[in-house]
This record gives sequence, C-alpha cells and structure tokens, in this order.
Amino acid sequence: MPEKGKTTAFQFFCLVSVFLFGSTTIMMSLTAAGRDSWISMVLAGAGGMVLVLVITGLAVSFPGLTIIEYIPKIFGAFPGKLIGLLYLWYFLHLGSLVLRNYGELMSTVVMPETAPGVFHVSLAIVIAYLVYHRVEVMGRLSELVFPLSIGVTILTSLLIILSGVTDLRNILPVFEHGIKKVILGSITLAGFPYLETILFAMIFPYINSADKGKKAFLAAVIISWIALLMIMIQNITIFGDHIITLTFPRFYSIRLISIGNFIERIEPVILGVWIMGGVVKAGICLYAFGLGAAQVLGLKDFRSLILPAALIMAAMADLLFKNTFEMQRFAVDIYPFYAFPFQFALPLLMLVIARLRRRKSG
Amino acid sequence: MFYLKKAVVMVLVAVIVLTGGCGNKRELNELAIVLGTAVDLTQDDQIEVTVQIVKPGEISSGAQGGGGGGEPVVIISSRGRTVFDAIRNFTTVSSKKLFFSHNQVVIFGEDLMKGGVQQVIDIFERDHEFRTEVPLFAARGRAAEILEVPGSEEKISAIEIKKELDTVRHPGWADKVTFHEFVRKYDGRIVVPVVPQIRRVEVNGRTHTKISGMAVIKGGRLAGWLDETETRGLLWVQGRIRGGIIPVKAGGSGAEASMEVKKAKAKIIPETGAGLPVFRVQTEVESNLGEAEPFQLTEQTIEAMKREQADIIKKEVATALKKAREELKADIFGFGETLHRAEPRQWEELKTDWDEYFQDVEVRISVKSELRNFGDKNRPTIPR
Repeated sequence: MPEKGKTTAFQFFCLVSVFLFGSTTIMMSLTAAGRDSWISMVLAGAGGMVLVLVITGLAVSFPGLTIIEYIPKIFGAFPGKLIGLLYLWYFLHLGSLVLRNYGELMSTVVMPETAPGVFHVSLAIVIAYLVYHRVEVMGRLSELVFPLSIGVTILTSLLIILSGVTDLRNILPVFEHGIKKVILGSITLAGFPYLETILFAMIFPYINSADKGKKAFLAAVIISWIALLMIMIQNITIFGDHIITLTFPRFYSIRLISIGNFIERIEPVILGVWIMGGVVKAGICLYAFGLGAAQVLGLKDFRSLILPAALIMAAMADLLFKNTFEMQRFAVDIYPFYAFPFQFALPLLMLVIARLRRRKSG
Repeated sequence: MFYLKKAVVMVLVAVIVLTGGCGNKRELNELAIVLGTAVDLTQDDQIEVTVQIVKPGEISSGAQGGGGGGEPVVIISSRGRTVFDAIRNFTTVSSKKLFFSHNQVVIFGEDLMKGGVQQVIDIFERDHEFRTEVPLFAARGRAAEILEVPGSEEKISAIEIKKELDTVRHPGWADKVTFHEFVRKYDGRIVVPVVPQIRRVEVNGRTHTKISGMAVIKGGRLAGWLDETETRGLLWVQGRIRGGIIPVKAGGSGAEASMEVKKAKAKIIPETGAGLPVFRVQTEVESNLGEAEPFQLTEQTIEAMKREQADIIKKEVATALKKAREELKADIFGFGETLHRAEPRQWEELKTDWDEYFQDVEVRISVKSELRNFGDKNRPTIPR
C-alpha cells in the first residue's frame, strides 16, 4: 500500500471543486456553439455527473482499490498493466497541459519577458513538494483554496456587474446555429473539465467514508457546474460572439472592472488565487501519476517518483506545443477525442464488465 | 550533518527571497508613463503614433505652488509601418521606455479612419500593457493636434479630455465609447459603431479641445459625422441619455421653459410579420422644470410642455434616423441587432443586404414624456 493516509469527505469535495474550476475558469472560451455555449455547458455538466456515478459504481465493486489496481482484475494481468500504463501517460500528460496553461497565461498577460519554462519549473517544484506530503496535505490545502476560489469567482462576478459592462441581451438569439453545434460544443466542454474527474478514481478509495464520498463527489461537480455556468454566461453577456477572438476571456473581463475610478486593476490578486487552483489541479495529476506508477511497478512508496515525475511534467509542458496557437488547436480540436477513451469509454466498459461478472457469480 | 542541511536550506531561501521578482523589473524613473495616445495616418501611408508623456517632477513641484514652471507633459511622435513599429521607433527619440498601462485616452485621426482602422486596433487588445476600458475618440483632423492642446483646467490634457467626456455625455452631445465596446460592435458587424468626436476650438483666444457629436465608423472606415442633435437622437433610441436641457415653448404665449431631463429609457421592439419588419421605438423620459419664463402654470400648460418635449425628442430621433439612412447608410441604432435577437431566421434572410433594407423599414417612434418636479417655486414671478 503506497498510500496509507485518508482524507475526509469535505476535503475530497474541496479537491474536486478546485480541480474543476482551477484552470477551466482561465482557459474557458466559447465552443463550436458560439453564443449558445452555455447550453453546451449544461449538457456537459450532466455528462460529468454520469461519470461520477460510473466511478463510484466501480468503487463499490472494488472497495479500497484505485483504478490502476482494479484494471488488471477486469482485463487480466498483462493487458491490465498495459492499460494502466496508458492511464499513467494520460495523468502525466494532463498535468503538463495544466502547467502549460498557467505558463502560457503568465507569459502572455503578466510577464512577457520571462521564459515560460520558469513558470513551469517553479510550479512543478511546488506541486512536487505538495504531493510528497501525500493525500492528507493535499486535502488540507484544498480546504484552504476552495473558499478562496469560490470567493474570488463571486467577487469578480459582482464587480463586473457593478462595472456595467454586461448586457444580458447578448445571450440572444438562442439556438441560432442549431442543436447540432450545441451538442458538439458540449463534447468539448465535457472533455475539459468535467470528464477529467476520472483522476479521482485514484483518490476516491482513500476517503474515510465511501458513502459520504459519493455525496461529496456529486456535490462538488454540481457546485463547479453552477460556478462555471455563471462565469460562462457572464462572459457571453460581456463579449457576445467577440469572445471567440480572445485567448483568456476571463482575464480580459476582469481587466474591464472599473468602479468609480477606484476599484480597478485587481487582476494580480485574482491571478494569485488562480495559481493556487492550478497548484491543486496539477498536484492531483502528479499524485495520480506517482501513486499509479508505484502501484503498477509494485513499489512500497511513491515518494521517490515524485520529483523526477514533476520535472518530466515541466519539461513536457515546455515541449508539447510551439506556441499558444498550437495549444488552443489541441485543446479544442483534438483533446476531447483523445481523452475520451480514458475519461469515459474505458471506465464505462469496466463498470459494465464488473456488473456482468457479479451477476454471473451472484 | 543536521546543521549542514539547515544551512543549505537557509541559503536557498535567502537566494529566493533576495533575488526573486527582479527578472524584468522597471523602476519608475526609467519609465515614460504615457497618458494619451493618438494614432494618425501620414501622407505616405505610414502610421504615426503620438504620445503624451507625463513628467512627474513638474507635476509635484506645481502642486506646491512654487518652482517648476515647465510643461508637465512631453508630446512626441514617431512613425512606422504598424502601430507597434512606430512605438518601437520611439526609442530613437526618447531616453526612456514607453509604458502604456496608465494610458487614459486613445484618439484616432481623421485620415486614419478614412483609410480604415482595422489595421491599428489589434495591438490595443493583444498587447498586455494596453487596457481595453480606455475611452476612444475620433479627431477632426489630425489626432496628434488634439494631444498638443495644453490642458486648461487640468495640468495634463489627456486627463482633461477624459473628464470632459464624462461631463459631455451627461446632456448627450456625445457618448463615451470604450475600446472594448467599439471592438465588440465592429466585430459583430450588426450595429455600426460610433465614436465621440473631438476637435480643436478657439475660445477667447485660447485653444481648447471640444467634444461633441460622434463619428460613424462603418466596416472599419469613417462613414460620416453626427452633429450634436443627431447624436442625441441616436442616444434617445439607445436609452443612453442621462440628462440635459430641452427648451420648450410653454403654452400659447410664446414663453420659454427649460426641461431638465432626469431619467430616460428606451426600448426597440421589432414587429415581424409578412414583409419587412417594423421597429417600434419606445422612449420614456422624465424631466423637472428647471427654469421658466413668466407664464401661468396650469394643467394645460404642463400638458403642452410635456407634449412639446415629446415632439422635440421625436424630431431629434427623426433627424438622426434620416442622417443614418440617407447619408450614412449605416444602422447605428442597432435595429438589426434587435431583429437578430428576436427573429434570427428572418435576420438570416435580411442580413447580407441589411444596409439596403434599413433604409426602407418602418420605424415608429413613441415618446412617453413626464414632468415630475417643479423646483422650489410653485409659480414664476409675474409682477402683480
């Protein structure tokens, strides 16, 4: 057992929430659905709930085991290890994508003269330190970050409304481009962020009460669903269709805040909280990778893997894309389809197989 | 061993704390803080950027009453093939690096707008130093000349221009348009964006900047200018009037009264059916009696004042509408947008030729005019 710690259901709730709106708030732009993307968001959130049920269903069949541990029990020892390795790749890749998002944000809008590698490496070192202290400390950190991120979301939304830059009519007309585009958009939004919660199949067994864990999981998805929906609707009311042309729409809209020439330029504070969210999200990816790797390799402890893995993540973040444009193309056109087997198809298949087997034996 | 480890950690912490955050530091005395930016197009198709840079020393010495005496700002120009190129070329004339984060106004020159603004707007959104909530202005003539006018009430004329805009938008002779609003409309291609007009005027032998009227920028190019009345007509339809005076004739006697607008709202309702849509513009206005020549206040005269107020508003709207349809051929009001929102299918059919349809659609204007408050005087002074 590489992990002996436990988290509480509330800490788990915080972890999932922060994970879900960590980098999403920053990167979230419109999808193929254009102005109707908020409807896609509603559908995508529902998809996220289904995944929660799949993960918790699997956890019932294999109590106390992580996804990496029960894959071999379903698919057999050798294919199981192979699939496990693919999952490890996905965790590592996702982590480096998160680092890259933050590096990109910092080097685009805040410190254009600093090399993005600096942000990747410094974030990687912080998350390595965090993950080194295992799941309990991650849980406690997220307890701290969660109120901050939700507070910042509410505060910025209010300030933006008070600045008078929103116009609710920008949401109209609804369904201009048809339902097909809306569904296409919901696939993008499901892949990033909702279905990424598959990573929590690595943490779920370590909640001290599985019953409460399921409730906390669902509650976290719902809370972030509401928050993200709110942010998306607000972005649309500010920009209308123009939002498509922006790389970091939320950052842009926070820069529009100006109340009585007094409350303005608050974005550095907001940025600080966003980075904390990024630390939690990338930390969860690193944790899932480290723990999973230890389980595949049969190690007693995963700590020795953390620092090298974090540095690989940072290096990959640097190497993955040549520029922001490539990153966006990947995020919109490729990522949802690339990640879908890991996020949804395989877990669903596993649940079906597990249920069928249990019926046969029972 | 334990102490060695501790020492290493302390050295590392010291390195982080003492050297952190200085990677691209810029001290205040190394920065040229830009407060106003003007963009022009030169005769030979180059972009000319003119900036107003504040001299912090002059500002503070002036505040103490003595000393100083120099100009509080420096105005310098630079040319290039693009805006950014021109900004970089400033390094040849300025000893400091320009810093745009505190820029207060962006002014486009007339020639530039005639040639098209699409080639210059990108950097204001893309670059991290510019902020998109700055107000945008359209200069009559060269934009650089506007920045060259010395401030009369403020030391820095860019700040004076910004404050002037806040006062002039009150009566509705011009409206504030931020860069963000402009780009959003320009990008949406349905509502034709307008930008407040600014020019130089001589008052008592002193040059001032005057903001009144709007420039209409259709498809990125200057399509024409709106005067003060037309601007107010436009703002009545958009419900963006915040105040102002409407002089009316009171009763049959020919006495004049000033109606002081307190509140105004407006709604555009598209009515679709067979054929072209009909747009109903519903404006609601609420005024106080601000001033009155001697006449008897009766129910009849009050009704007459309200009626005349409504008629004047209708006339202003009609003037603006006529100008937009016949001369500019540009839907500055946003009729197309209301149709797009209410009936996207019908809009789909009309949108490519909307400029043509816009000239033919029926617009019905109705004004609900109210008179609320009469001030501290229940009747004018008429010697008995």
